[in-house]
Amino acid sequence: MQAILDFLVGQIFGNAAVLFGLVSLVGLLLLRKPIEDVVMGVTKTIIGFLILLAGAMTLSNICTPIASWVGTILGVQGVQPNMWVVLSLGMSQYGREVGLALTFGFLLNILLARVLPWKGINVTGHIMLLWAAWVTTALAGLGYTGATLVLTATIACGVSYWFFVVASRPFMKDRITSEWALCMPNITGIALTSWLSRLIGDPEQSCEDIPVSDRFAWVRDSVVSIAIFGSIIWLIVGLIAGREAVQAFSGDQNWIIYLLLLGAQFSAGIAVVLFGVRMLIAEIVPAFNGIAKRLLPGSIMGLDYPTVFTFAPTAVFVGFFCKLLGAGVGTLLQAALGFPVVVLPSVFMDFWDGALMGVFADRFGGRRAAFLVPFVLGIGIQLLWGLSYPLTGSVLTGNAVCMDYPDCGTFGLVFLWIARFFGGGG
Amino acid sequence: MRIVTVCGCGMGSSLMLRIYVEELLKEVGVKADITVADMMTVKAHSGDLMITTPDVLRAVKDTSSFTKVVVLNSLVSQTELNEKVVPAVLELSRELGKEG
Repeated sequence: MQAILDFLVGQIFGNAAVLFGLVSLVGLLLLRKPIEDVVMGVTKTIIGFLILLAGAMTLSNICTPIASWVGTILGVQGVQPNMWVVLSLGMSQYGREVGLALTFGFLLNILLARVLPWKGINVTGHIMLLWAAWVTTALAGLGYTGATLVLTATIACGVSYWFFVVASRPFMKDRITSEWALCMPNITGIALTSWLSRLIGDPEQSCEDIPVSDRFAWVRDSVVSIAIFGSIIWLIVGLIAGREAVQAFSGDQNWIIYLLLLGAQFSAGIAVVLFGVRMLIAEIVPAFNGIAKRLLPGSIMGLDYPTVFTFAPTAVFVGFFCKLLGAGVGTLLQAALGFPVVVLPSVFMDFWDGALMGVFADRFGGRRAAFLVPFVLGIGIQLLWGLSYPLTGSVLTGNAVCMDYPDCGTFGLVFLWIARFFGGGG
Repeated sequence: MRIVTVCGCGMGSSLMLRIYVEELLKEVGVKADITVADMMTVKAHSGDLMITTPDVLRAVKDTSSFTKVVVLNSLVSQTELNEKVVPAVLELSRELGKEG
């Protein structure tokens, strides 16, 4: 009996790939899919997970040397904010715990929405997965292990999933739409943008009167923009470090070419991870969606960023460029003021979060707010990430990456402080 | 019939769209294979119908590998989905029926 139990716990539930396969198996069965769809879906989920791990390896191979040369040469911890690296590292180290926190966190979200008067439910699979990976990896970094780790991460995820939806709801309802809410770890951005924009601007003077050329549309293509902006950022960092220092890592390759190709290599790793995530969640999200509809009919759905982009398409680009600029200023400030941690601009999330802030800013305070608020918040968020980064544990700090959701520097930071206070429990 | 739903990253909105469209097709009684794609790799996909939003379409530009393209202003509006996707799907299934 004990042997069977050990086998189940160790080899079946303990194997992250199998665990995710099981989650999608249950989901597909609940959706009453035909057997061939079930087999295909489960297989795809497992393959998706394995692709994700392959991407993690590629990214880690690039990040580890970068972390070390930036650290030794510049004398600071240079940090790259990138959620896909966080996800892939977290999944390769704590895949099992992340899977459990995601699944049970989702169920806790349903429970909270059923018993509390605020009926918000999160159905954005990738955001839930990313958040679970960050929470779990950071908790593990603080010394949490085993059941304590899973339980703490599950509670943190379940409460956050629910909170993101219900907290975004009043701002959405006020100026955008009452039909749905958002679910993203950027309540900080939504709330501050809405409050500040109302103070400084005039919603009548909207951004939408400014013409924006279609030629900027490419920045939305994340793989391309990460490569291009990434190369620029690494070139600047490398030039500051100097030829000899970079040459020690680039070997026979010309150091400038090495720096220019870093962005593209990094982007290639991200593309693999994205492909894996796409396969992994494609079967799980419909199941979550079906369960949410059946158990909580008429609840408010928390949806992804682009659902609000159509409300102010120009503000999307204004917000992005201003947030990116703010992030750059934040990085320079950290370096100039001699902070121990210097966080580089995220680029990828500067688009999504900047765009989101742009839309809210435009709705609450028009053109002036759309330019100013994402810029100011961009600086602030960069500094806050610098504070939460040292708390996230060796899996992330060893690769010099941090999570690039604004809430990681606010609610997340408070959560990490509390978690550190209570200690690992193990 | 092969349908591809497209968004920025191919995992958030496109997946929600796939779920909505799947439900819609079940009601209309049309069988289709629906996949998700992101704006970068969508050119490598081909199919009968591409469903996306105006901002994504501006970045994709070339949609020649699809017979038909439906552009939705809201990813969430059930009315818009009904008004735009159902006629497109019915027309395509008539055309495919003729060929088959």
